[in-house]
Amino acid sequence: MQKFRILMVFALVFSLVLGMGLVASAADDSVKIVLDGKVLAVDQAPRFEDNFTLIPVRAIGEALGGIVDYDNATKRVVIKTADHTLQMELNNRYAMVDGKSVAMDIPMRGFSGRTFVPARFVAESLGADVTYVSASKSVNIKYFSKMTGSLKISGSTTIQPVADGATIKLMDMNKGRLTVTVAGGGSGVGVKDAVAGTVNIGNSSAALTNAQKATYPKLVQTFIGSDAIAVILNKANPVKNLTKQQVFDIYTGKITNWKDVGGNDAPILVQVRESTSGTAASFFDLAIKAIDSKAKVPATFTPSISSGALAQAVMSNPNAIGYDSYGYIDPKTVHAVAVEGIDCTDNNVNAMIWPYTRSLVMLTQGTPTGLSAVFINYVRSTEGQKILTDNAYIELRNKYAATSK
Amino acid sequence: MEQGQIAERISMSVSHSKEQSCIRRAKLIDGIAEKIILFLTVMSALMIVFIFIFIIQKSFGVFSKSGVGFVTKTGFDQQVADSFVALPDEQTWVFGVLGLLAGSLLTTLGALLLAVPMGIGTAVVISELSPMWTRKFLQSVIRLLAAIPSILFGLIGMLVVIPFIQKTFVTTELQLKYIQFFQMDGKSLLAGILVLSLMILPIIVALSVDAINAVPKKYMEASLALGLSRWRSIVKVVLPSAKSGILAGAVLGMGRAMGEAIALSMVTGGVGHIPNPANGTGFLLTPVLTLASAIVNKSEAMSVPSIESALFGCGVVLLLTTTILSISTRVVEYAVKRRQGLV
Repeated sequence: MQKFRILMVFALVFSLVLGMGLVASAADDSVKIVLDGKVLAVDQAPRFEDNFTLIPVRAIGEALGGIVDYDNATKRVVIKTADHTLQMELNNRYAMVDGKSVAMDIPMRGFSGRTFVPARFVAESLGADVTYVSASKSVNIKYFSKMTGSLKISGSTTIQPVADGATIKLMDMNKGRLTVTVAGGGSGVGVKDAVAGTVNIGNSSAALTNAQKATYPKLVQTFIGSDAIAVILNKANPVKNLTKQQVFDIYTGKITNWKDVGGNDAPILVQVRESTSGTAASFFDLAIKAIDSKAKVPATFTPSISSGALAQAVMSNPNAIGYDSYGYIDPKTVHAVAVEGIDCTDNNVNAMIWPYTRSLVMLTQGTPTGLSAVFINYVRSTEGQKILTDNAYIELRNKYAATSK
Repeated sequence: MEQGQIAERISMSVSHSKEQSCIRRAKLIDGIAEKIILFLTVMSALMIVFIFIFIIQKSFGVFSKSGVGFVTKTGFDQQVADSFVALPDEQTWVFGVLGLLAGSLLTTLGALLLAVPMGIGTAVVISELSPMWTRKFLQSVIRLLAAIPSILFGLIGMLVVIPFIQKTFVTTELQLKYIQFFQMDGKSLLAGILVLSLMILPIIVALSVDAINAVPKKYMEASLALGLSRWRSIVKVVLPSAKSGILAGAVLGMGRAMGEAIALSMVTGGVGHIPNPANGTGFLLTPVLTLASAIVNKSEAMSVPSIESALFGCGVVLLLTTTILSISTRVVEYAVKRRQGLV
């Protein structure tokens, strides 16, 4: 009896292992979409029609750096990348590529509530090279791994770590063929250099103002995401709201006592990040420079070397004030204070109502082309946006940020 | 007959040459091993030279622009912040690390003041006053303490020492009194000294224990035989004989204290104030920044050439300071020995 039971267990385990193998081989059997050497993750398996591969529109569109919009009323999908606009209609053989009508081999199809597009057509329309390898049953798309030449980028120190991250990835994918140099200097330098043409891409951590648009009509901005910074207090601090002016006065050393902003008679212990941090630079731009471009943050404020250390300082000190990227705030440990009566919440931050929010843009002379376009598309792609969120910025494709495309 | 003799001779010479070749091979192997060891020694010596040259070369820019002002002027924090946002052609390359030097020296001296008496006391207890099993136990505990990575000391400092200082010493009145000079929030010189003294204690204890154990037993026995009490024998006979070993422990501890970066960067506040003795309690509660932790804290800004050079400059000052300090302890040791007529 005992032996029989053990045998049963073995049989069960064996069949499970075998079953897993079978499932895996079944998955291997279907066509793979390979983008720049990596298998593209699709939530729905590719489909076939007349030997053409159809894949979910969002997966391919976003992987190549596009913003995918689906209009349910007209049954139309628009994919916008930095350099191309592709419009397709359900079951219609004609697509609009950059304003021109182009015939497709097979039209866009709907299956079980999802929209599928022909992989080759979409990838090629957006500028990628496509080959089909029948041996491995894979559709090979080359887009970010076929860059040759050199790119110069300068500007915002906030965007710098993102541009650096993208550069490392892209130069790795294009070893020996691609050189990208990323310099800082600040958003002003980014605009200046892009206008002067000394760089291919100028980074700016603010959208172009109307005045700038009028002065530099050739300058084109492509949004890559946004950035929000919260002002944090100790949970025991009775202050629930500050004005922008008060935040400015505290961070320039004009107000040093909480009673001046409606709190206890206690000193304000101002916590800052090391001057080299991107968050510090962002906060300086948004809260200090926006009010007085010549103001300075005193070097006597307590610096923290990391986001976590700063949160710890604010958490352990009832009289402390600090700032941090919105993505890092833990409401259990610190209190994100309202500014100008606006609460620091997901909705307000993503809708960009929160006072310390700004768009991150990449500037080019005219619509981006060539390497510049591929670079910007990479930053806007699914993979590039991970670099953005890793730096605690807000990704381009969040459900509220409809305005910043 | 002759033939036999010749044969014998041949066989002898053959065995002789066999022996010789054996010896020769052994000599060759020895020679190779010696050469390899010599090579490695030269390599490590060269490595030190290389490090020196590298650091000095990297810091050359800042020294040529700031000159002596690099160690006699203050304002490092502001200068780094300004340089970081300045454009390449607006860089001044002028830095002043006096505040950092003061921070390094004060934390180190403070830690030594605490740790040396404690370390000697612990060493005496371990090697003279306790039974064998306690001795073994205490010694392994101290060794364990020496093996704790400095980041853990930093964490303990941040989560235990600083809240302790906040609760015990920091009051709203004091904070208000000093707010125009510095922000008093527990991260301070005192926190640095406390954490550092814990970190260097094991080194001092370990070397002191060895030094005390190396004092011949007969000294102690003679002293006891002359009628001195156990305690007096330790203070008057054993410790003076073990002095140079204890001093070596203190010098090593000092080296570690000067070079400690990460733990101090977590607890000292990270602003290069020079604590003012006129401030009384405020003196110890002033936030400081040490040379080593400045390198850690500001390393993110290395992409700016002037800041990179300034941080290597901090390294040079750090190296020079530790060298000067350890030479001067040797000089003091020599002077003391001379006065006692030991040299």
